[in-house]
Amino acid sequence: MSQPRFQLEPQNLARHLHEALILAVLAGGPRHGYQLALEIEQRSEGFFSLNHGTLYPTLHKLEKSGYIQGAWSAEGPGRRRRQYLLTRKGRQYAAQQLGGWKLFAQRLFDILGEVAR
Amino acid sequence: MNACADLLRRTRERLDLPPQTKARILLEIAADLEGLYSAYRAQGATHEEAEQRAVATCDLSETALAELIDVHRSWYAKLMDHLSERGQARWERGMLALLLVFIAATAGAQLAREPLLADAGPWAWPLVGIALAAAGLGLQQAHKLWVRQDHRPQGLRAPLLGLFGLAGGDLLIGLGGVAHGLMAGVAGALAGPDASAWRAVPALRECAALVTVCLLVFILVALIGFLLLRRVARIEQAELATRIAWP
Repeated sequence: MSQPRFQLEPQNLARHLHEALILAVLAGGPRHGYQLALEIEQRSEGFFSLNHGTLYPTLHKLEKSGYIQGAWSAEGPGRRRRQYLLTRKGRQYAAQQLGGWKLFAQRLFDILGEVAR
Repeated sequence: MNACADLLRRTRERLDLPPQTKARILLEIAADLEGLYSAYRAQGATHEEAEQRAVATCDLSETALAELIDVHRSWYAKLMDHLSERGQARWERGMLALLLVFIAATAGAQLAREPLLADAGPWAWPLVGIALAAAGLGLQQAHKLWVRQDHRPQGLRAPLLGLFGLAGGDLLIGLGGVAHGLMAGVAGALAGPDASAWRAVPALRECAALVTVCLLVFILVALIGFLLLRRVARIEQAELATRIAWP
């Protein structure tokens, strides 16, 4: 299995951020799409408000890349919901993302810190 | 849930994707709308508020819609984008006709000549096993979907994955057999002091027969898969239609 590679691209910050938030929530266990959005909002105390409009493309991209896996679960007669869970490859990718974000924050604070000096 | 049904209808019209992909996405949105509605109601929102908030959360912007379409568009669709509509139809018809002529010519010529399985050698038997397994799986699923009318979502697409696996196994065994046959043929041709390409002919003949069996089994598995996929897509679209028709 190929190792995932993460490179934080400043021009794609929003996309990376959505990916990171989704993977972080899924690290706690499987979730439905709407649960992901609600939990991100609750855990960030409303700081990150993820609209489903951005959620679906990101979720489906992550699924196609093999970082998360989606499956239907039955919710009563004739009702189904799509649930996502983090794969092993996704866990590795999330760990790489954390490193990328730390470096990003460090570089940003370095530059912002110069303003305060 | 009129606003939810409206949102699903609007999204269906805007999603330019194959029906089964579209149905999957819309069913996911429908389920999330329900989940969000219940969550907002549990937080104390009125029916109208909960519905409006759920719809506002799940509404796809033009950019998100374009991204979603891009994620699900196949390489084939991306290739077709470069051709005009008329050109696409011509190209597809031409390719299909060419494929059918090729399959009919190779399989027909082999079948008319001599007993195919005997020619194909021992590698053909696992392929026959795959054909029987695919036929068995197809019959079982046909009984489940058409006779018993068992349309539970969990088991709907799983057998299709089994068929993909069988098709992949067929190609792997077929190609493995051909590679083995070619190597044996080359080794046979080079054996002894007087190397001769003529000694590779029986092995080449076996390879040709094996390729034919492999293709025929693949066509059988693909046909079963195609029929089941069409049925599953119709079931999902019917389910979606009932959701869109919420009172």
